[in-house]
Amino acid sequence: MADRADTLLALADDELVIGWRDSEWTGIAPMLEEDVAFSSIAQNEIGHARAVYELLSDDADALAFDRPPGEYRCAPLVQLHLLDWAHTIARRWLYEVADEIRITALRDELPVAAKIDREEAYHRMHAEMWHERLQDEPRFRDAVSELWPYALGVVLPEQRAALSARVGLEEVEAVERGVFDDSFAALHEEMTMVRRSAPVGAQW
Amino acid sequence: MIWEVFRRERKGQAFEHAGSIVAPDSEFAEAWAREQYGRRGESVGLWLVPRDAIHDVEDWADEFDLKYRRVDGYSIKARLKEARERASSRPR
Amino acid sequence: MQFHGNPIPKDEDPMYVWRIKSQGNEEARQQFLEGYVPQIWELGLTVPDPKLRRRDDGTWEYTEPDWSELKHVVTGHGPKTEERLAFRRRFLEQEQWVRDTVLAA
Repeated sequence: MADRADTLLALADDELVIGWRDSEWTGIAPMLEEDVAFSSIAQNEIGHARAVYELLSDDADALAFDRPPGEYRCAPLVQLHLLDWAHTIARRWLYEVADEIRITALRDELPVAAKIDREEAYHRMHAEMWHERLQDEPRFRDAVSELWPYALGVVLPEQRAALSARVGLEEVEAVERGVFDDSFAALHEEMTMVRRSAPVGAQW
Repeated sequence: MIWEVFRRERKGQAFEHAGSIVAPDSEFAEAWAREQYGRRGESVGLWLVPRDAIHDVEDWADEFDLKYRRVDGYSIKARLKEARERASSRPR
Repeated sequence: MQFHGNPIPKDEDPMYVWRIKSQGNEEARQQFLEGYVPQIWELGLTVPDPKLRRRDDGTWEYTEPDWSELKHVVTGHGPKTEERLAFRRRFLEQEQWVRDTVLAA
């Protein structure tokens, strides 16, 4: 059974990093309406991250931004720097399916998980809508297959059978947390740049 | 397909036209309208209507002076002034 | 100071006519100055414009910004314009298949 604090830190780091990655699509999403929706969802994810960091620390900013890259518990799936829509939306869908499984497991004991779950209902709606539209499109199917080992790494080993059933793909070897994509160092640098530019203890 | 979005800010208020979005079906229209017109909690309800479903009424016959149908169509201001003047000039 | 745009009458500004802006450019700039400059001065800081002052009628006087520079940049001649547009064009073209697939209804 995974340590509760680590499970929560992993959840918060996932939400922070996917929020960051998804926000990279602001201004270049395939259509204007989706640009707004996608950016909005990215902001929601960062809001979730903050809510969970606040459970783990009195200083959510410090916890979110002051760790060296190697101490983050985010899954490799959310770290990937994806430069085409097929992969980006495939990741969004896989992430939401995986996230639902782990959030549901936490929901009964953790009020914030229940709150997150209620907002995620709309993220799921959005992801399912895209999945339904693109599931026969080869680019999308290929992207899902490529990202599948990464998606498995989002949930705990005991949750992978359920994920497999929902996504409709056979369980394979997962890319586990603790592995860092080549792009993560640059992501961390950019994400913490503003924070690091202010002297320690400075207040806005 | 164009969808017209109507939003209501508070329960009990009338729906007001808020804008339009291009979406292929009601699923996309809803997902997108939620994020454009409700993401800051500024709407408690949305109506999404395909533009084709809207029956537009734009022209009117405007031939006669229908002032008499309105409350403000009868002005007694002038007559009231005259009556006051007559009353004040009469000996008490 | 260029941010709010050059001082054209709002009725001649398509941005105002089409309700993208809710006030004229000069109105917006005056409001901005009125909101921030007194506070900046109150904090003991200075603003690097020797002409900046509030007139007797309450409006702000300032050094006229370089409007031709602004025009040059916003008409696509800024230092980063080509890079920015190329980036957007790249994605616009790359994701054409998405629009074709999704909006075909």
